[in-house]
Amino acid sequence: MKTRIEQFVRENNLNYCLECGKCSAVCPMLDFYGEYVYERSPRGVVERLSLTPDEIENEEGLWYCLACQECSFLCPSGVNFEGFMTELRDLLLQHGHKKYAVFCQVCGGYLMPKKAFENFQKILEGGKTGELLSVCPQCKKNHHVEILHRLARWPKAKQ
Amino acid sequence: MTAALTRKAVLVIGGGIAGIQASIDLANMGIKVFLVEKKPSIGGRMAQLDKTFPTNDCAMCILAPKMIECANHENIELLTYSELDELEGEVGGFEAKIVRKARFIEDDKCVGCGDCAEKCPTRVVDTFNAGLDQRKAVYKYFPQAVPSTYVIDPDHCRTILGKKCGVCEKICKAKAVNYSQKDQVLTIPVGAVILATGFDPYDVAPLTEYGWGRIKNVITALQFERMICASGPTNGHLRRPSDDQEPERLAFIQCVGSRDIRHKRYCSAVCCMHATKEAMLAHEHYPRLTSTLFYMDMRAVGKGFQDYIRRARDEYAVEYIRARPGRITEKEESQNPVVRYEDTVKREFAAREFDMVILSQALIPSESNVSIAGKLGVDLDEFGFISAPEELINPFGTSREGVFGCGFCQSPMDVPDAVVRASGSASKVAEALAGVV
Amino acid sequence: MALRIGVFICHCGTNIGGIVDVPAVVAYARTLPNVVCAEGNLYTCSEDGLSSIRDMIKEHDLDRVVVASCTPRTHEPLFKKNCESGGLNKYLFEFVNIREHCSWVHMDTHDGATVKAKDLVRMGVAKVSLLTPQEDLATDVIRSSLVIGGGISGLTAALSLANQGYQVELIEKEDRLGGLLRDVNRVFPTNDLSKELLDPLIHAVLNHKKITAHLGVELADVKGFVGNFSVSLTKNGTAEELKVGTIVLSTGARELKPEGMFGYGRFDNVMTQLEFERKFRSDTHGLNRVVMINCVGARVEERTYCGRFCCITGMKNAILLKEENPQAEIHILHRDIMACGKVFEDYYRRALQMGIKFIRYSVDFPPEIVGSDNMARRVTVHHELMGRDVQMDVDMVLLTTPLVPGEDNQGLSRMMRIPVGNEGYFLEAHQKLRPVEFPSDGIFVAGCARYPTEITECIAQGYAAAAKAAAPMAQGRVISDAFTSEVDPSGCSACGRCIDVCPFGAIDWNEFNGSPGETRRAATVNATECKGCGLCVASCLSGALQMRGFTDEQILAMVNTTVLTAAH
Repeated sequence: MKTRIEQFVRENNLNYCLECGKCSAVCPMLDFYGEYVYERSPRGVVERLSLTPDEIENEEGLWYCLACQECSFLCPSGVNFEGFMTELRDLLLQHGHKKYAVFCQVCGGYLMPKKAFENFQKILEGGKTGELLSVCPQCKKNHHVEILHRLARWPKAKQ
Repeated sequence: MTAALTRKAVLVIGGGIAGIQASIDLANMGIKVFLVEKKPSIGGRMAQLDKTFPTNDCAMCILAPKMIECANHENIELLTYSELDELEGEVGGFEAKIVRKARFIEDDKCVGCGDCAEKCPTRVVDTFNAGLDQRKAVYKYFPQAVPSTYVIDPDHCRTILGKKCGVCEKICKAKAVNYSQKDQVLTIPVGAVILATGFDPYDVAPLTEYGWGRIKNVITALQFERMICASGPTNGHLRRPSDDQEPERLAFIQCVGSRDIRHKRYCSAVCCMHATKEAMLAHEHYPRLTSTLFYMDMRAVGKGFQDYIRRARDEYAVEYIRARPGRITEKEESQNPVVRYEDTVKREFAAREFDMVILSQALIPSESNVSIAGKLGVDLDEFGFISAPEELINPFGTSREGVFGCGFCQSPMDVPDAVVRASGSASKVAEALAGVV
Repeated sequence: MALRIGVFICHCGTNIGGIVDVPAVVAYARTLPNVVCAEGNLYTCSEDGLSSIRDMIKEHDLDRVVVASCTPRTHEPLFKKNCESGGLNKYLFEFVNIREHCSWVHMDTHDGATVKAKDLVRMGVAKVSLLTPQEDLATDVIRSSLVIGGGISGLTAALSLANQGYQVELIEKEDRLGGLLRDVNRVFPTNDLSKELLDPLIHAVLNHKKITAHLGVELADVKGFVGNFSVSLTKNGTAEELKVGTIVLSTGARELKPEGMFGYGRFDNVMTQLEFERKFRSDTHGLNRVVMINCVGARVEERTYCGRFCCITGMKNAILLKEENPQAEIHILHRDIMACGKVFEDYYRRALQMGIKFIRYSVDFPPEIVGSDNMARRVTVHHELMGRDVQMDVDMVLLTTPLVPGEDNQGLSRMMRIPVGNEGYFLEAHQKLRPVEFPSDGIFVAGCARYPTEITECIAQGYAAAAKAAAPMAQGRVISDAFTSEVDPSGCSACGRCIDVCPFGAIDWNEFNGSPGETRRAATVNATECKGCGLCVASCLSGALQMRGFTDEQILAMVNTTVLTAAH
């Protein structure tokens, strides 16, 4: 796993990080989660993983990023943090480290970090519309396509 | 002047401090110099500065004697308001075609009294003052301009544009106004050329996260420099653009466009120091005023620079925070800029309100480099600086023999380094012309 | 015979004329003693005004001229020159500043400004009456330069001067040329071998017919002034004398040996960057874990300055190590990465890309090194930006130290009467605009003697110093202003204060024959070296020093006429 992480670090330009903190300053984490925690911030994660790319199974801080790409757009050094996080989480899930993630209720695919999920639910009126969250976009699409197909078949059936 | 003399002449392009110094050194070595400057006065960017680090000497007070020495030197011919059109030939035997733009003021008659500008009815944005105020259509480039003669801006002069006016002609007691003056083309034989075209400030508008141009109280370092300068548009009084109030809390943001692969990858080399200087000057003007400087690496590498930073922190209420701010927003009522940043040492996020924010914009090679390099046939590097093929051992060389470079047009550098490069290039030229009679 | 003074008062358009009643000042000037003509000009500096001065000198046989106008800063040389072409000694001219000292600062009080303008003109007339004709001084310049120090800066300066056609005497205290750069392995940012840069240069210097290289010599003494220096050298006890016109000082600097810091001297695998470069020129085998500590002995209380290029030196060695062994783990502990300018930021990015790790530490929490058996084994550092300690096992620790001033600097400073700054480096005439000059004419500085300087800048400064050193030789003669100080030896008490305060080293002792049979020493001014600053005059307790053109008599005449006469 360490080699893969090192590869992700390299491929997403994490080496170029100048530790300037611009990413953390633009990260929506503060507004979204209501607090700023260094270990969860892009800079914190980049510093941590560039220096010691191992023992991350229990690293809860890796499961806050919303993949909004704001930091990647504004990074003066070209660090693709969002790309890195996506690959890293895939890797963790492949290795069965699933405790900080939420999965689609339909297909079981990875949906989003657990923290983000809980927060969205809170925002979307205590779970009323929050249910919408628990299905991944692909499954939602499949669901709606299926309805459309059914509707398309419906007049025929009536005849 | 004899033909033999002029072949041993040198064309210096750019009348900033580097071009001035190169000219003076060459002239002192007995070499004839033609100093070409596109603006109406020599002086360059240094003339726009209020004071200079790390001694806080007044920039004009140390520059003006150099300008005058240059203008009065018997071996130097100033060709201001002029541009290079063509260079033919080779080292030891170039022919330079220079266009002297019409000033519409006879420079042998104008005595620089300023009556014309006082009466001129047309106002134009003053680029010397970084766009902070206006000048007239007939103007002196700046109060200490050398030569001190006025010039009419043909793009805005009512008479030249065919409208009714003629006020300056009427008012001029020296009878110097001449609306029908034409551009002149001079052909000068020279043995070598020195480029000293200097720098331009980078346009920071594309860095939308910092809001320049949208948030009134966010200005650039060059604008601040003009504002704090006693001969600037506010006579040295700091005033917020939004409400003309005296600011008490300043924020300086470093590396705006520099050290940024989305803009300019390189370090502009002087901003850490000039921002510190500006913060010190502001505190000197208003002892209640405090400054916060946001930086990544405090690049204070020159002689006395570290002590300067210490003094700024200990005696001038300058706070240094290691952070590259993410965004600047504006408070609706007060129009105060709010800087959002992560203090990387304390590892804390903050959204802090200031009265004014100063952006240390990247400095880029002069925009004229592209056309000049084309005319001279010298290579530019990827950023537009004059490239020195053997930079390590020959910092003055260009891709064309007999054409040399010095100062900021080669690479970002501060005034002492530019002055060293200027003198050094003079040596190189003297070597190149040693065989020429 | 009575003096014949002409007074010319400028309106400067409306600058002066709009505030000061110039015709009234002209009329007043005519009433002053010995003034035979006075006139107002719209612009005295215009060709009309200038020719009028020349005409009046002839017509009225004027022997003194006063111009009251804008500012002497730009216009005094112009008017002096004009007097000269009108046939008058240019030192019989006096400038009165009634624009900057009067109309501009009293814009709201026209009457008061006019009174003040009259006062200023009266003072000018009082002074000009006491001026005496002077001649500029000219000295011939020996067409030869002395270059002190054969490092990269000195080699460059010597070669450039020789290529310009001047004789060069290059002196080096060691037996070989090359200086500090000889110890350097490869040079940034090209990473070429330093010898590839140095060898051709040394070869060119040694084979240039205009350069004489004196190796293994000591500089014993330097006397004289610009154009005519006498230099004494000693080699193995034998003395040699050289005569030169100008001098380039390029004595370089030394690497700081960080005794007692970070295990230096205690652990065999802790060394400075330069020691590493000397030892491991070709073989860095087996170095898998290297930690570099930057700012060792720099930017600290006892040595506040930044070494300017040490960050890049460290980066260079890290890059070279990593190129040889991509698996090597290299950590650079730093306090700021000084990668100024166009080239070095890319060099920094190259190091980052290769996976070299940079850890920022604070001066308050310096890294700690533990070791055993004379070897450093582990480095612990407080990562300032992560806020936690990081531990690294090491094979080698490199300490990045700054350059420190040369040992001979103080001695050279005394010998050549050139200043040394707080840090112990030579202090240039002006930090901003005269970086390679000294206050005294004819002596110039290049490279690390002035301040730690990277190779390209050393080369640039070598060339720059060469340009400065060439100028007096190209001119052949040095012309100096006649307004210098002079000593009345009979009044000199030989206290030596003037010698101490003179920033140009222009004052020295001389034998003076006072009363019959009595020979004593007295101060004497070398007019060629004097810049007319007046410090000596102010420091003289016995009133034996006077400044030509600003004598006590002349100044007091101005003061007296202000205090004793009312203009209105």
